Amino acid sequence: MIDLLVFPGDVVTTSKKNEKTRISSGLIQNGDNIQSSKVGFVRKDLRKKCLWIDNHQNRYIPSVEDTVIGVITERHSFQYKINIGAPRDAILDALSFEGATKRNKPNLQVGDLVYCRVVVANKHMEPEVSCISLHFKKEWMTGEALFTRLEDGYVFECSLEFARKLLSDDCFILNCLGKYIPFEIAIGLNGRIWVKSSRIVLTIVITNCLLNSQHINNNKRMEQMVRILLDRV
Amino acid sequence: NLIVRCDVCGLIVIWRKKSIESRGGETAIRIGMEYISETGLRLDGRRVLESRNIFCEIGINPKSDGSARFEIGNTKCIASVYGPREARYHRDTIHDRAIVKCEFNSVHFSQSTRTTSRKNDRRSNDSAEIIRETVESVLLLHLYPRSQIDISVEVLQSDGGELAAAINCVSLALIDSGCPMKDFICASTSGLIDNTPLIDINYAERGANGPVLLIAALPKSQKIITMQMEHKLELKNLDRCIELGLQGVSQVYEILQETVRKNALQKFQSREQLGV
Repeated sequence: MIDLLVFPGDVVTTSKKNEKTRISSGLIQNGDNIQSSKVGFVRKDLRKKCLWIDNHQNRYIPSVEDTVIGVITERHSFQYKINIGAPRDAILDALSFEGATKRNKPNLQVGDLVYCRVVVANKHMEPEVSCISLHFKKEWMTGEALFTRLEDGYVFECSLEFARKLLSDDCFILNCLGKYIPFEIAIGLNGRIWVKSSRIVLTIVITNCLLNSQHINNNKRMEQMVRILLDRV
Repeated sequence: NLIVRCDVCGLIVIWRKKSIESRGGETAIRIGMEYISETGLRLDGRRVLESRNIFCEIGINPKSDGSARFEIGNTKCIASVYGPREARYHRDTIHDRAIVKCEFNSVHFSQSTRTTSRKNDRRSNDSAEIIRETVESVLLLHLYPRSQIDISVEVLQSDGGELAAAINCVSLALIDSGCPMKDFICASTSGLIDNTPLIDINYAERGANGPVLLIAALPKSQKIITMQMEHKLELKNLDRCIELGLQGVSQVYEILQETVRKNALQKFQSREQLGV
């Protein structure tokens, strides 16, 4: 059933005895059957070893270990309220930055963009995000931390599956753009993409290339499109 | 037979003799408009078991989370879905599931004469309630406690079967928005004119004042979610009307399914296998 297009109510698989099947977003258990609740393609996540439905969606539903881009909406004494596009706003603890202490912590303002990681996400609680990375242990003061405030640049929204596509290993458009323009990009799984390059005009070109690449499926044509947009600059 | 132009819809129709009554020495010939010809054709040339032409489109409103356009014959409507998102008023929220808010509106130019009724009139509210209850029984609301899903439907052109068209449109918009559902929701009307059961009653046929039954059902399991009727119908005819309503639902489902499939393949055609 992998890579097959399913509709809500379609039975994807039945649970077998002595075999565990992990199911993720878009799949629900109905008795012995595992049914799809969305229109999309059935995929198997090899890292997490679970089945999920790859569908077109604009609304982000938070899930633990997702990397997202949020906008700070409120400042409190020990935490920030941050909008990640989910059904409820998330909480960012003021000290959840690498090397942060009460005297030495980043001073984020309302409206700041933060690239962060979802730590708590379930339907009962407000989601929580954090800027502490498990692998890259650079302190927040150095400005080289992985999860940090995003300064300058330009952020735009897209559908969730486009963000996933950009994060995949064989994403052609990012490699293609990288050949022509040096740029920095942060991709949030909540459908937000932040782009920064040396000139504003180049940032606009990169944004337009990314938005156009959603509809082009031929690598050669994609490269042509990038060259056409760059020629105008 | 008399051939006249109908005042209501402008069609050229045939009035034929229905019956002859004699009372108290006087004879009267009762005539009525011919909604179904002897060859089995209706006013617009359809057969008794045919729905009108259906056209639908997904993803027309870029600002919303999900949107769709649905046209059946000359009845056209659009729907937008926002959510699940933070509830507007916390007092409305429910601790273990999402709430659904629905708005149903006919634009002023939807019928042949311009209407100036206010947005919150009783008919619109009733229709919105029906859509909301239909949708609540299909969505998996327990996945999003304390959230809100907003649905907004506008009827752009009215030619009979607006509520059925609205339900179909909302179903497509919900699928576009990625809200988890148990199945598609498809709706259709069926009615009875001259003792003949029909599928998909349009505005001209509504003028016959026969009963019109709206059925919304889950197409795969043929489970009925909603039935609505504002007329009197004899019990012996009910089964046949329900059966035809479900047939109409299947006809709508074919088109909805095809549109959704094409849309999904188009969106994903540039993807290689993820292998994540």
